Amino acid sequence: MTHDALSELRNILHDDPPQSVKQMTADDIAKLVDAIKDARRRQRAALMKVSEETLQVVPFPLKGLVKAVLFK
Amino acid sequence: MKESSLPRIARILDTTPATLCGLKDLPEDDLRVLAAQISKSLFEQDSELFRRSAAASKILPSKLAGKLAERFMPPLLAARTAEHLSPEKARDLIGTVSVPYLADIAMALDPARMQNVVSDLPAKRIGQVAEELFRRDELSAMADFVGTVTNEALLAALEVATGTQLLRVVPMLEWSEQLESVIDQVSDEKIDALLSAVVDESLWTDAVYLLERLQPSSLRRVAERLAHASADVVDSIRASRQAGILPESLYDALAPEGGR
Repeated sequence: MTHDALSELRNILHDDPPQSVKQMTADDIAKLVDAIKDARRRQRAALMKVSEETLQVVPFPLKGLVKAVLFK
Repeated sequence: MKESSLPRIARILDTTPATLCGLKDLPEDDLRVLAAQISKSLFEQDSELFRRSAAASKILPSKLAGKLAERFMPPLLAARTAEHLSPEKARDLIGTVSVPYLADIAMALDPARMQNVVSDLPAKRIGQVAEELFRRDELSAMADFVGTVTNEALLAALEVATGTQLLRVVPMLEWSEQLESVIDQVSDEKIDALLSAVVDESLWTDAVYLLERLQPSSLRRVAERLAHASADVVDSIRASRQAGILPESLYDALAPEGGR
């Protein structure tokens, strides 16, 4: 189980974590992976929301250009 | 002696340190590496979206872009978007948003990844953000920026701190020639404030940490200010020496009795 959680952490970081992190319990590594996944999910959703909200209040002459940049 | 990177990791993940209890006993160096890895992972995942947000801000007039960012963009996202801004645009935008929002962004920034942008920001604005961070007692976040900002900006940040805040933040700083050079430039008023804080709040242990790292020229300036200090300050120095807190060599360098 430690190996699985660690592999997932390596995948999500695209890097080898520090030695002491690798020596954590499988449960603690899994919790860390969950926290990172959760942050990634919230970040993506928040970014999409910001883009949509911003576009709604951008003045008309610039709206098309901003929309193209944000959503093209 | 720097503060743990655990609060930084919690900020990066937008969570609380309590949810990361498995990390609490890990070595600070490893936590620092992990913080950088997580920050990079989150940034790279949505790099294209951050780049698009930064590109949109370039289309809009800076004043409008700043207003929209403050209204809609959480500081954590703004910090990551800022990594795609040119130093020129960042300099324009920093003047259009409020100091509390900038302070929130500063706490979410990864200073090492932002050096080219942060180093170009106006010292006066950085001083205002530093004042806000000191007010919030976010000393660790402040300390992370030393080495990233210019000497002028670092001096502006140190000058807004109270004597007590300075003494508390110093142990968190990476000591460097830049820091020594800036400390050498702090005002006489700031040195007086430091001495008052040391005496009023019995902060001699913190003071010794700072004094032991000062260049001879800075130590001479402290000695000069001591020559004008009240009897209370001089008494406090004597007491700290007698208590074995202030080393004899430092006591001699400060010469509170006008040389012995």
